[in-house]
Amino acid sequence: MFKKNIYRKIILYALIFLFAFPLLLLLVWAFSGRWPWPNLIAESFSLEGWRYFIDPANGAVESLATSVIIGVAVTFITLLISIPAGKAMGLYDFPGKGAVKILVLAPLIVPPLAVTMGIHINFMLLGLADKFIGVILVHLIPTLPYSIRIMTHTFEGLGDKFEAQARVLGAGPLQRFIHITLPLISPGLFSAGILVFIISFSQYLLTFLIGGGRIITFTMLLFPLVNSGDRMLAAVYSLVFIAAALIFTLLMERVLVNPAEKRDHFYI
Amino acid sequence: MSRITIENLSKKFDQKEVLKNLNLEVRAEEMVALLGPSGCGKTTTLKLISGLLAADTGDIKFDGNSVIELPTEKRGAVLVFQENLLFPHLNIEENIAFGLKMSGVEKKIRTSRVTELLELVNLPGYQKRMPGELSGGQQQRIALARALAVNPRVLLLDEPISNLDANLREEMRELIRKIHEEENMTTIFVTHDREEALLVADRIAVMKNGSLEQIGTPEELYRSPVNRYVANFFGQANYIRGCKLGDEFYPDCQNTELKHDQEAEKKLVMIRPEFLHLTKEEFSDSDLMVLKSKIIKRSYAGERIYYQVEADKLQDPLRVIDYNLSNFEAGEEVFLHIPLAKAAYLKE
Repeated sequence: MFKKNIYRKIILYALIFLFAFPLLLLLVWAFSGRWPWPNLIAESFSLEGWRYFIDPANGAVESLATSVIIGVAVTFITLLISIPAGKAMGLYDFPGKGAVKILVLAPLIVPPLAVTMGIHINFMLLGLADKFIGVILVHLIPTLPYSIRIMTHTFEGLGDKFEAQARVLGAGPLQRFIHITLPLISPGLFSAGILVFIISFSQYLLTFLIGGGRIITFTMLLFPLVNSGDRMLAAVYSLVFIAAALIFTLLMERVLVNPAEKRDHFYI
Repeated sequence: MSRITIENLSKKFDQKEVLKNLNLEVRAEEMVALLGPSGCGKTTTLKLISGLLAADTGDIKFDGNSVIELPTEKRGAVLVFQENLLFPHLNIEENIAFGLKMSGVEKKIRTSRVTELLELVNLPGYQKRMPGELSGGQQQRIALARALAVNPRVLLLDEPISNLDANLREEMRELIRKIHEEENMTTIFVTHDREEALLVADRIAVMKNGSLEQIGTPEELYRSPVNRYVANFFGQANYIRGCKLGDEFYPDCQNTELKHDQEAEKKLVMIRPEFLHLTKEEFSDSDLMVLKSKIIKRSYAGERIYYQVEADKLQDPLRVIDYNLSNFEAGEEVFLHIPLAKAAYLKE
């Protein structure tokens, strides 16, 4: 018994350390001023990094807003497509279902970069390149496979019985969707939504290619900073990045997860 | 509260005929049980009536008007599924009021109807509970209340009792019966349990392989089944092959007089083991067929004794259930009395 407990504790603390330490380091870096090698502790602490971040001249806040707007739009569009797609694949049998399932996953197997070259040319022809809408559309490529997959499993788990029950009780198609299907798939929408937002939010390459350097998202500012070795600024941007994703997750949970359901053991 | 008429209803699932020309009439305010083994098309019949499945051929009429073209949500045939399917994200009040809300009934009326129904199913004050907090039996009762809330034209119950624990079954049976009597709802319920059907239904429709074998009151089905299948479904049965001539019955058509008589009908007689009597002395009565027999097996079961009896004139041994009126040993010679008035003549 005693030995088991020790192993469990070692593993637990090791995990906590592994997850928490990089974050702690980020926190320290974000508030440190001069920190020459080989000092163990920074010589001074300052808020300079944060001042730089807030300064409108550096465009950090603006790019954060751009990222959030793109992320929210991508999440919304992806979920909008994934609900009917997931339902069709989760509940209905149709010819070629297996092939469709594989095709939906294809963007995960084929490197997006290979596809994006071709898409870029077409977007230029269509006047979508270097535009907001183009970036949003191209973000659908890496997000849709995950989201459709999650919604397919959600519908598979849910089945169509609740809808049938609502139907015999006199609910029309729209009523069934709003009052029954939507609340019952909300846990799936929640998982898919967070995943999609984070994928879109951390997208660098696709945004860079299609946005052509005109659509400046948060990651496009963050990457050079991490590369250049300005640890303080990189730490500030990283913390903001984490906070943004976290806030979005909490907001999604407020909107989508019904507190009454959590108590219910039927909750999927 | 409609009269339901099913005419020549057929349904195939991938080449497999699940229903074959089903004809069934359920009177208004009647409770009919669809009884049969799993896979005989009972549940499919309910789904066809509710409109969740589309029929291949045939017609379904409510009060003489075809509803086959009406979508499920407009038919007013409410199906209560076996798994009761309470909406997990809605509380009990919202669950019961769901159908009323969908049809735009005012909140005030909904609330009072919910209170009324919760009392009917013996769960008053449960409005704010969530489905997950309720036991299986309670959930089933809420599902029933939810279906009743919309005043359906016909209530369809899919195995409403079978999923419950043995001790809850009797309670639920009585509740279903009570609700039926109070609300006078035309009800069709599906079951594979003959006792459930006998105890709850006004009439029972026995189904086999997608078609109707017989429909009748519990007594009719027990006493005078039309064939062996129905007879066996409702309990143990003895069969005697023979010829019927007027009121007389000749086992194995052995009577010599019969050989020249063309009017004698070949028949199969079915008689329940508890209607047979064994005595030491011979009784004679015009209603009784008396056969000299020998007891080949005796099993004592407390209030009953099971005998297996071999009659001289019959090929197969017969089963007799005796309620402690006599006590014979295996091997004893006795007289077997068969009251033909209580027998059913089946088609061979």
